[in-house]
Amino acid sequence: MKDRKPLRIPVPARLRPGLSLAACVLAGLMVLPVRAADDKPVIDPRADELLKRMGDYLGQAQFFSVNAEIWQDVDLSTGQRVQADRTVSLQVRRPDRLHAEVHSTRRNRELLYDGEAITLFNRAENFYGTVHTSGPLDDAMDVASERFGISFPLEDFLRSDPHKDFLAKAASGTDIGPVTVMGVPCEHLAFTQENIDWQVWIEDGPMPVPRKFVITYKDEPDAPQFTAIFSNWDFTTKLPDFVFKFEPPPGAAKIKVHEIRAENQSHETEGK
Amino acid sequence: MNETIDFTRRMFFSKTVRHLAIGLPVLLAALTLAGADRGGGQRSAPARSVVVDRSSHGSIRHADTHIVQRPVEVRPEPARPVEVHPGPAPRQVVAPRHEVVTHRDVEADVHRPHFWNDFAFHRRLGALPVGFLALQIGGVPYYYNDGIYYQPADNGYEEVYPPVGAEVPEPPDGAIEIDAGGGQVYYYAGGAFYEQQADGGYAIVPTPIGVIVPELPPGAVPITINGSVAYQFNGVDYEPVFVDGVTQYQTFAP
Repeated sequence: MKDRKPLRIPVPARLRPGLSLAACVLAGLMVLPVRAADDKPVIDPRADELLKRMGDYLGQAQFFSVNAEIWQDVDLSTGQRVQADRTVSLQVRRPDRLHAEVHSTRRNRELLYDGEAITLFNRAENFYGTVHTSGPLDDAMDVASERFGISFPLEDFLRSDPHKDFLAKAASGTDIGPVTVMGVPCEHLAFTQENIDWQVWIEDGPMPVPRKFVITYKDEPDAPQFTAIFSNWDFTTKLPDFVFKFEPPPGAAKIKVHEIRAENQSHETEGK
Repeated sequence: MNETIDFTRRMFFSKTVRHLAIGLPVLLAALTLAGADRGGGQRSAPARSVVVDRSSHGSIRHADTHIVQRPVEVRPEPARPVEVHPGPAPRQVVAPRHEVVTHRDVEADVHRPHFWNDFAFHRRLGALPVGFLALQIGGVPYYYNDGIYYQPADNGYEEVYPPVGAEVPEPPDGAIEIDAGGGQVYYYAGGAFYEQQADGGYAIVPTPIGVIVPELPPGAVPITINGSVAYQFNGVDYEPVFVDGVTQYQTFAP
């Protein structure tokens, strides 16, 4: 087989410097748009609009109640994957009231915020603990997570501006299309971000509430999932103060709430 | 002379351009990659807590957080005098590959029964379980099977507290890995804290004081100290405390 000769295009010597510079500029221009594209999330406008509609509906509601059934992948020590389930009952009254009850076969705990304190109550063991804080619900959630490692159940949906928080780290978002969840017509949205993928099913019609929510932890082995199915959305039943006020039941023992130490904050910048 | 200047200029110009032609795109590409490595491709987002157990609560806000073990000030329990002798060759050893739980999700409610969950102090047995291991600890005979220790008793055996100094080939099945910070790792099962030894085995060490465990030892007895509820197991007290919003237990010396 004959060796191929490299293709040579005769270029006048005086043009070579200019052509080289042009090549440099061109190469630079080819690289720069990639960076720009990386910086901007690719969110389908329809997905964004639906998510905003849901966020506004929840964020502007003065009070609401909802139940959720949660299914979470858990790996047994044998390596087998199973699903653990629990139910969550939430009552929210803006700006600064929340009552959450988390119930499973062997556990039953409550979390209350009455505008002055966050109370944790382990009903199964009859233990409770209190953390004093005040301010709107968003602030209480920040104090709970940053000082005590506590996440309010389904807190993404309890924030004052869920749309903003949902998209804070999203890299892409797509409207998958219409489906039904437990017989309710919904729009299925799917989003990606660095460590997780997440999906939300939003009810069609005048009450754009979430009906299903799934997080896939794609940076963990075999990508476990967290699934929440919502039911009994109620935006009409008023929620009086006593719903959010904790009264220790007879025999309840007050125990400490472990606070995160300052040195833990150093993990803030570590990448996973 | 003019030819020399012209030649030098040409050489300089062509070399510079050649360097630029190769170097500039490479530099730009490297900068792009470096930016991506630093997360340059991601949108800036408000920093969030790093200490919420991410998978427990299903929160996007906490999706980038780490599963962080609380650093605790661990003080070893006052050491008990222990003289360890290698035991006689086991009569019958069954050594399945035991697994340890490296991250126990405190929110997910999954019943995970293990052999040692059934421990009851002073429970009598006529015969040892199949697969037991014979140990000599401080000259005292013990028998071991998957997290439970036995001693001879009248016409049989009885279950006893895990003896400090006992060394077994691997942690009991379902032992929970406890990262006490500073590189100190324990394997917690049946009320015993195992530490890996230089020879690869796992030895029971005195209960570290101040460490937090997700569940009480089997058979821990409720007690009241200065009006506060606590639990006692093998001379060590366990105080209930809310960690990450759920009840766990911190060891303290009585």
